Parts: sequence; C-alpha cells; structure tokens
Amino acid sequence: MKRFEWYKELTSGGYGATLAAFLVLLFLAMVIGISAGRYYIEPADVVKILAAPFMTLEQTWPDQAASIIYSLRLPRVIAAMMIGAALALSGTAYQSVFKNPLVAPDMLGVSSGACVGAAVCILLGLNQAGIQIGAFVGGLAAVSCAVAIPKIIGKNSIVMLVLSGIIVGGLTSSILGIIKYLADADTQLPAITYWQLGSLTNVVWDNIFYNGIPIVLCIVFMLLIRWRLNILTLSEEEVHMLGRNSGWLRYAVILCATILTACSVCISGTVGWIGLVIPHFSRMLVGPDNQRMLPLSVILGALFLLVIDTLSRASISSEIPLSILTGLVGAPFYFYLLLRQRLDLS
Amino acid sequence: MRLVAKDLSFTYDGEHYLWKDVSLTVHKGEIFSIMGANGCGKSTLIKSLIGFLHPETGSVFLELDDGTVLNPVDDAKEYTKHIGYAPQMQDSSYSYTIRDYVVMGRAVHLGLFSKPGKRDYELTDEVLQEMHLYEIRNQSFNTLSGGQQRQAVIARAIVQQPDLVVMDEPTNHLDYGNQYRVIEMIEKLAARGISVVLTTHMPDQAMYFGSICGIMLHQHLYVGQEAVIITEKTLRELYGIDIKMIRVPGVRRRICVANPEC
Repeated sequence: MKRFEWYKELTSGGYGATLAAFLVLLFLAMVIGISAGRYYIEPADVVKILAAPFMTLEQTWPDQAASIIYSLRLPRVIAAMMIGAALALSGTAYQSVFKNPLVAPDMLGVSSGACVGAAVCILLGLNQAGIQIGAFVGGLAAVSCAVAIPKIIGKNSIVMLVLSGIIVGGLTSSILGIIKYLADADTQLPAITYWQLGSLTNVVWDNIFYNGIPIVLCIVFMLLIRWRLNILTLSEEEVHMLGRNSGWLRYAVILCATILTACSVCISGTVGWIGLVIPHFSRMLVGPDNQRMLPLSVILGALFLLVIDTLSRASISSEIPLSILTGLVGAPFYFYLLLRQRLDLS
Repeated sequence: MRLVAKDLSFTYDGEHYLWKDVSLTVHKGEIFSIMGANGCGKSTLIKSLIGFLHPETGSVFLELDDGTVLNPVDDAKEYTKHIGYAPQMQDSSYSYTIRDYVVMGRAVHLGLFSKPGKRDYELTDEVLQEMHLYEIRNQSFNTLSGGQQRQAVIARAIVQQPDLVVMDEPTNHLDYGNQYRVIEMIEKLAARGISVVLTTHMPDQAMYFGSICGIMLHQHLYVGQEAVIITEKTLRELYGIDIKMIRVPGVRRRICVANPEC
C-alpha cells in the first residue's frame, strides 16, 4: 500500500483551511451535541439561546430549554471538548518527549494511575482539591515508574517503554481491583466501575471550573512551545546541542501532560484511546511537525470526544460509558491508521 | 576562534580509563580528523568536546574571536550556540520533511516561545539550494538515501551558523562517491572559516584533508600534522594489519593499501 503523505504538498494556506474546516465541524458538533438528548431542542434555538446573553433577541424558545442548556447540556459539551483536547494533547506531548509514537496516557499507565490516586482519595472521603491532587500524584507516580523501568533494565528502546507501560498498567489495574473489592458494593462500587469506564453524566460547572483552569493553562503552554517540541524528539545529544540547555523543558512537558491527564480523569474518569489515536490522525493529515499538528490535535481531540459523548447520550435510552465507545471506534481506526502509515518502528 | 581541550581523561566507572591526558587545539577554519579502532572512545571524545559528556579531569573551552572564553558547563547555552553537531546517522521516530528538519538548526538562536520566522526559512532555503536539497525539501527525512540524509544533517549544522562543526563519522554508510561529496563539503566549510572536528575510519580521508589529525591509540590521543603522524607503523599498530603507503603518479597525496596476508 502506498504511504499516505499528501500533507507534504500542504501549503500554509491549505493548513489554515484544514484547521478552519475542523473548527467549523467542531462548532456544528457542539450545536448538535447541545440539541440532542431526551429533551430535544431545535438547533436554531440552541444558537439563539447561546447568543442571547450577548445580544438582544426575541425569545422564541421555552424557558425550560434555556435552563436545560445552561445547567446540563452546555457544561457537558464543554467538558467533553476540554477532556478530548487535553487527552489528545497529553498523548502528543508524551509521544514527543519519549521520542516514541506508541505511547499515550493510557499506554504508560498514567490514566489508570491517576484513577487509582483519585479513587483512594474518594474512599478517604477527601474534597475536590484532594481528589485532584490524588489523581495528579497517582499519574505522576505511574509515569515515573514507566520511565524508570527501562532505565533500571538498562535498555532504552521504543518497545521497552511500551512493555514497561504494560507493567505499570497491570499493577494499577490490580490496585484498582483491590479498591473495588474494598468498596461498598451498593454505593461506591457501581460509582467506581462507571467512573473507570469514563462518563460525563455527573458533570457540574464547579468541577469543570476547578479542573478547567489547569487544563487550559497547560494547553496554552504547550501551544506556545510547540515548535520546541520538535527538538525534543531528536536524540539526547541533539537536544543538548539545539535545546539551548533547556533540559528542564522535557520535565515541564511531562508534568504538563500528566496534569492534563489527571485533570481529565477528575472530571470524567478514564477515557481510553484518544491520546493514542488523535495524534496519529493529525500527523497523517498535516505531517509530524508539531508546529502544525499540535493545534490540529487539540481541535480533533475535542471534536472526537464531543461526537462520542453525544452518541453515548443519544443512541440508546441508557448512557453507554465513554471508554466503551472510544474503544469501539478508536481501536479499528488505529488499525486503519497503522495500515495507511505503515508505521516504521525499527 | 579556537577550541581547546586540555588533559582530558574519561572514565565511566571511576576505575578504568577510556582515554587519558587528551589535549588538542582546533584553530579557525581547520579540519581536525580523529582516527581510532572501534570502541576506543572516539564518540565519547566527540561528546565530551560538545559538552554532552563530562570528562573526569581536564577542561574544554572555546575561545571566540573577540576573546570571550566559553566553557561547556557554566556557559552551556552560549557554548552550544557556536558549535554545530552532526551525529552518526540515525532514523528519527518522526519523519519530518527536509525543510522542517534543517530549520531546527535555528533553534539555538530562538527563544523558548518563538518559532522560526521568515528570515530563518529564507536562510534554510539558501542552504538547501546550495546543497542541492531544495528540490526534495518536502520529502520526509526517513525516505532519503543515506547520502541525502547525511547532507541534510550537515545542512542543519550549517543553518545554525556556527564557528565549529563537530561530526561523528560523517562518511559512515556512504557509497564511495557520496563519501567524497561529503568531504568536499567539509573542505568548503573550512574554506569559509568554519572549523570542523570529525571522526573517520578511513586514513585516506585524513590524508586527503592534509591537515592536523589525532590518532587514538593505547588510551591516548597522538596529535600532529597528517604528514608526520600517519605512518605505516602507526596504522599497523592502530588497525592490527599490515598497511602500505604509496604515492600514485598524478595524485598529490599519499594513499594507503591494506595488506592483510602478511
């Protein structure tokens, strides 16, 4: 099969058009996401209700619609976009600093590590800030282990890091098993299980606000240093020579990626596949240059999870957990991407 | 500008020395070739000169034309700015286009939050044109031939506008023609006043340059003019086989011929 690399002829105008096209799609998906659900709201009304605070409009919609949008649908849609963007970016960041296109927050065990950290804090009855810190500490511990294992073995290769991610993932899922075993079977267990599979059912503005601030800050930081990220993908010596002695930058990027994953976990639980699939898809569309692919990754991540979440609400009467859908869509799609790219891992 | 290394000794474990008391000086526009058997520590020396590895003893510093002295530990940021580095050939995990790859050489001149601007790309395109890579600027690095990859790595070092370029086995894996194309390029750099430090397994290349070279033997670096220190005896000791030096009519340098049966 021929390598799929039309992006090479993509001019900066063509790139801008691609980005704009996906932004328009994102906006459409947002309107559809808000209008869909058990209580259907006309898309035209959705746009008017969203615009109403900023301009004077004649009210043509029932008050109930506006209240549903502001208290239920809008926070949910915003959370989906934020988490999708955060996870896609987190994957992009890990893939760059570890010089390894096969890693992602779920592959390195960061998601499940954050999940364990948060679950422990829930069992201990800590408040929102405590859970957030717990998730971050859990995620950081997981990524540290995943990086330390190849170093201890003394073999640093692409496959080794993936294997060590499997080790960490196995460990964290066992710990999570213990937590589930200890949890109250009537109240805590269903909650933890549902959360483990990812869900946006219980999203509230408060939660979005507390986790959204670090997520947005990290996204902005990553966007600002995105060209530097290219340098970090080179060999250690080249990073030393071209990186202007910014060895700390690598750690800052790892920290950022971990915060992005941990905060996402705090809102929605673990949502798989996005951090792996979306960066690959953006690279296929606009090439591996982070200056171009990183903004696209953010948009595509937001779009992907928004569509998935809308499907999970609208397809059948009871909600499908997010990770089930991202897996059903993400896994075959990743196979397709590998087929098109013929990823060279030697 | 000159690069000075004084009494360097390197050890990984604190007991066994890879090499000891290595001193060398590279002047402006000079080509310094380093030869040595496999595993003798040539790459380690190269990495010590660029400040990536730190020798146990001794010092490395760069003296600029205006008299400023930079050392790789305290002035790492400035030090690395003046030195272009062309590592041994390797595939990158991400297949950047040639242009995106080469423009990375500008990184040393850009701040943390900046990206290459119009002038950086203009400079990159100039170098690409000069090195006959402009036509293939949109091809990805990993799909290039060995010779073109090597050219791209050197182009990246040139785009950086350094005073010194350090190359680890620049002609490794190249066919005969490409080897001498790279060598010509190295001579061009030197003619422009850019110093070059390189490692090579081909004594003929060091003799071709006809300049200063270092031979790593018995954990020591013997430094001298090529004509003085490259002899049949040292080459025999260095590579463990009999080597004859001859002069060919019409070629102005010596060449060497391996004679392993003896």
